Amino acid sequence: MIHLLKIELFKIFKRPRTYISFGTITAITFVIQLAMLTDGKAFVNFALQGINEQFEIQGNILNGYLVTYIILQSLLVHIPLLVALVAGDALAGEANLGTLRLLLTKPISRPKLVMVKFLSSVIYTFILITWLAVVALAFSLLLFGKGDMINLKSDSIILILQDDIMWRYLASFAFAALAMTTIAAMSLFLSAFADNAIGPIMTTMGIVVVLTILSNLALPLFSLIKPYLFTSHMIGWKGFFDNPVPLKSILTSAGVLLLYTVGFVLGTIFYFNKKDIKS
Amino acid sequence: MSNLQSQIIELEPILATRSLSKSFKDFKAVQQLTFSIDKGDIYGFLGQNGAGKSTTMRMLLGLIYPDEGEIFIEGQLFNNQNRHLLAKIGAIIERPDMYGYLTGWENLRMFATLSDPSIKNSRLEEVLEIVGLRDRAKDKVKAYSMGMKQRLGIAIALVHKPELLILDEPTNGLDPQGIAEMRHLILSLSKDLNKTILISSHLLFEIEQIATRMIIMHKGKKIVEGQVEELLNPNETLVEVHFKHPIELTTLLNNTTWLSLLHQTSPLVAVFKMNPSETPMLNKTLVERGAEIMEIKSKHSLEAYFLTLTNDTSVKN
Repeated sequence: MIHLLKIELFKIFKRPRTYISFGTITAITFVIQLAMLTDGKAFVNFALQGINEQFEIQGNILNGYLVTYIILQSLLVHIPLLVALVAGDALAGEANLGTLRLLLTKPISRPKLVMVKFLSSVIYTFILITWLAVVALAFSLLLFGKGDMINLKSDSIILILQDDIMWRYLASFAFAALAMTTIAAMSLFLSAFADNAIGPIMTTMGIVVVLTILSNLALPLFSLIKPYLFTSHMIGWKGFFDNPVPLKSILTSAGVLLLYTVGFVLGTIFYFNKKDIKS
Repeated sequence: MSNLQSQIIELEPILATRSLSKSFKDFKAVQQLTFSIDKGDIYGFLGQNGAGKSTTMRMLLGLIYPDEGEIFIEGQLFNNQNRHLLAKIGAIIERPDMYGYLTGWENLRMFATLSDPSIKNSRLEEVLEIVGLRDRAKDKVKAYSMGMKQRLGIAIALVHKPELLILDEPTNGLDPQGIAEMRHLILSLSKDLNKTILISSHLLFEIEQIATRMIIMHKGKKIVEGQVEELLNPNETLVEVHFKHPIELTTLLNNTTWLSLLHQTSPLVAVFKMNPSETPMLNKTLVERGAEIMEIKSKHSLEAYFLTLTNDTSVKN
């Protein structure tokens, strides 16, 4: 199993396409950081307009923690596409390339191959999220320094002291990694049905977009299904920036995401194990 | 393993099928196919496009699941539960597709590890030497010609020292020189490395020069199976006669036994199915009866045999 996993990772990280994701994350993060460097103060003043009249706020408000939060808010919606680029390609891309039939003429079981494809996608996802953490958090702290973080919500303001922030970020990134693992599992599942990677990648994005819209629609009809949509739980990472942290709700979300992940992986194994390889 | 056990394995066909069938919706790709390959054979798998050759090979490798029937590798039932038996086989199915962004060496190392993680780099060098790719091993596969990809495909199929090689259309897309090199390579694999080979090709002339045994398939069914020498019975050669002027052969050969041997005719060409040793007699009879002959040639080849057989079968169907 470990040999298979090494081979899959070797293939993923030898392929130039893999680095598009890392490049994209780096570019967007730097653009946001640059924008915050030039216009950040005006942005913060605008955001705190109403509050400044009632409270006297002192200190480094535009600090690395706040900038990272802004980056995550804008970026985490797009990460599924970057995850799908690899996971959606895992089986369908091999079929399209013609290498799937060569792989399957080797004495390895199909369930094992699916598991290895899934694990390698998960490792890629974790590395991607770690990279996001490095460029977003480390570089933001480097550029903007430390300070207490103000989390502006629609109905409240949460002030998080700087000594109390780092663990929240680490937990958020871990949760984001779990959410993206669900996306990877779904992409892999779709990948098993296709002989071309474009289909599963686009379908993954389509599903994420449609379900996210449904998750955000404040209509009674959709309220019934929202708790069952994995997209409703993908934003659970934000809970770590609440006070107190809604641990029960976060754990529920993590559980739902885990169930979806297991379901998608088992579905992939079941289908792929029966599939005739005609590509 | 005891001596008796090893003798039993020696006698066992390396690969055998029993009543293998596969349909895709209403299309019957393979029907009730039973055949066996003995150790040391170069087994030709012949048939027109759509005859069911590739579907059969995919079933033999576990890529496609048969609807009915069984596959035995060295006497052991092969199915999805015991894919470890695939370690006894090396294969190229259709095109030799590999990872273009990796080098030949990296591709070979990867597939070697998939077959057997203990394979050493020295073995990789050995097979690259056999297929003549040692100097180009560090180049990316996307820069390889089709012939080089085919040879790398054979290196991948060979690297774990399998007993049986399954080569599906290995000369596809090759130029004449590449075809000749591939033929030479396949023959040396059989002769020097003692490999059993199952090979399919639509270039029947190639198979005729390589195979010791063969099976001919048509519309998913086995038409014939046997030793190439037996199937190419020299007493059944097609002799083609070209005339200078249009001729009415049935009148010309009236009251002769030659008429019964007439296989096909047109005003300028006649084909006789006969023993080639009788060609001078045929020539003499035709000349004596006033025919002006431009050329007489024997179509003694598997291709002629194959085409005759499949055409005849089509008529019967």
